[in-house]
Amino acid sequence: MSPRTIARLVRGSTAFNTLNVRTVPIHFQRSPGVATGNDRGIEGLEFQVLSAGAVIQRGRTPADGKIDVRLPTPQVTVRLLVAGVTASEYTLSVANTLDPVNGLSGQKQRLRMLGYQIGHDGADGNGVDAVQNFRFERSVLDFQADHGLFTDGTANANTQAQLTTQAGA
Amino acid sequence: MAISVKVRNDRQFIVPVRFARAVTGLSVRDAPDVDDRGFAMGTRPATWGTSDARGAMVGITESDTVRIKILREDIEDTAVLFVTSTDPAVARVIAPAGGGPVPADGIVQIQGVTDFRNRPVKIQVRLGTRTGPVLGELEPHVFQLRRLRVFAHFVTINGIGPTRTLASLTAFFRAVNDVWRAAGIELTFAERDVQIEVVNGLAVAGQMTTNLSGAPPTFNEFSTIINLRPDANAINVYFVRAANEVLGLTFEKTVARPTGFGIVMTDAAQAHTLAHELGHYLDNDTHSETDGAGNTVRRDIWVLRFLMFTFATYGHLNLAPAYKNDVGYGVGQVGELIPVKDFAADPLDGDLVRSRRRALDPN
Repeated sequence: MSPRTIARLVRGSTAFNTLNVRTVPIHFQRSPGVATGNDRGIEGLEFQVLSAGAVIQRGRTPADGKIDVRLPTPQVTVRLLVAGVTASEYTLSVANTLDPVNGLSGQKQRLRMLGYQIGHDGADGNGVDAVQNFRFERSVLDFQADHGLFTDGTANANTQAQLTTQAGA
Repeated sequence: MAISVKVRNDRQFIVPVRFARAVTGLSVRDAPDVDDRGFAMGTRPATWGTSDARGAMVGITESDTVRIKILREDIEDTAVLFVTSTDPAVARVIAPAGGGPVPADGIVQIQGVTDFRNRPVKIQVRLGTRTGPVLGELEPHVFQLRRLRVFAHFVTINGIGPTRTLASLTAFFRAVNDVWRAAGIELTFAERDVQIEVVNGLAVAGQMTTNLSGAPPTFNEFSTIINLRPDANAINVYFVRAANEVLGLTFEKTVARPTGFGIVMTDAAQAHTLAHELGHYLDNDTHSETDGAGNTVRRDIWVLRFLMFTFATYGHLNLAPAYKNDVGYGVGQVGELIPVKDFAADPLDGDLVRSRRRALDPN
C-alpha cells in the first residue's frame, strides 16, 4: 500500500487526509526476471493507467521499464500508446496468494510473474492453469538456462527453490 | 483484446516478444532454427566480443538473407512493430522495407552482410516506429562460408552394393547443407568424386556389422570400410546397403577411434542422418541427457530438437505429454537445431562454434 496525500477535506483543518491506494510495480522488459540494473528494461514506452474508464496515470517508462501502477479499483487497465494512439492494453488485477511452488499452478504463477511466456490459457487468461503444455515446459527450460540450472524442462527441487528465490515467495 | 495479467506477490514482469524459426518441418536453407534457449546468452568465444543483448541467437551465412519470425507473446496483435539493426554493416533488415510495419505473420528478413570479428550486432523489435522503444532483441552471428569437400564411395560388401544412385547424391548433400547453412558450413560434392569399392569377407553380404555396445565395442568392419581408398583431402562418405545397428556411423576426431576418418551411410539413412554424423565428424558428441547420478533424464523439448540428439538410440515417438512429439519439425520428427548458445550447465553445448573450429581442419 502506498499512502497518497489528498487535499484537506475539512475546512480549517491543519492536517492532510491520507488515502491509501495499492500500488504494484509492473516491469516491461526485453527479457524475464529480476534485473540487477536497467539492462533489460524497456525505456520510453508511452503509457496510461485507467481505472473505471478514467485516466489516473500517464507518462513514459524510465530506463528500467517500471511503472508503479496505482490500483484504486480491483482492476485497472494499462495502455501502451504510440503517438497518443492505443497500441496494446493490459488488464491488471491482483491476487493476494501464490499457490505452493511444488504444484503446477504455483510454478506457472511464478513463471508468469517473472515474465516467462506461458501463454494465455486458463480461466483468467493469463496462462495459469493445471495443464502441462509446450509453453510451460519451454518456460521452465528458459528459466533453468537463465539461472544456470541443469536443463531438463521439469520443475524439480532445484528449479522450485530458484523459482521461490526469484519470485520472492 | 486486452491481455489479462493477474499480479501476484506485488510484482509483475512483462516481456512482449520472442523470436522463432519462420517455418516448421524439415530444415530450409533460408529459414534457420533460432536458438531461443533462455534469454541469457551463455559463454561466448573471444571472437564474438561482448554484448548486452538478451534473447535469442541465430547463425547466418555471409550474404544470405534469412527469414525469422517474431512472436507476440505479451503484446496485442494490433500493435505496430518495426525491426531494426544496430549495425547494418554486419546484419541488416531486408523486409519489411524500411523496417516495418512487421506483417501479421511476424516474419521478417535479415541479411548477414559481413563476418567481422568482435563486432556484435542486435536485431531489435520496436514499438510503433523505427525509433520506438525496444521490445525485444535477437543477436545474429554472421559466418563466412566454410566449404568441406566430400568424396563418395559406393561400397559393395560380399557382392551386394547400395541401392542409392549417383544421381540422388546431389539432392542428398543439398539437404544436408540446408541443415548446416546456419553454421556457415557446406559440403561440396562433384560427381567426379565418386569411387566404387569392393570388399569381401565381411560377416553379412551388403551389411556393415558392428557391436557398439559390446565390452569392448566391436567396429572392425567400420574400420575396414573407411580405409577403402580414402581421399586425403576430403570427407569420405561410404555408402553401404545396410548396417545391423545404425543408419550411419562416424566418430569424433577428439575421442579414441578406429584408424582413419570417414562416415558410413546406409540406404535407410536420410539427409538428417548424414547431417547428424557430420556433427560427430566435426567433434560434437550427443548432448548430455543424464543427471549427476548418470540417469538418463532428458526428454525435454530442447534436447529433442537438437541435431545431436541420440535419436537412433532413444527416439522420441509417443512421448507423454503428446506435445513433446512435435518440436517444430513435424510430428515424430527429429529436430535439427545446431546450438549457437553455449550454456555451462550442458558441457557439450555450443555445437556451432565447435563445428566451425573443426571445419578449419576437418580431415
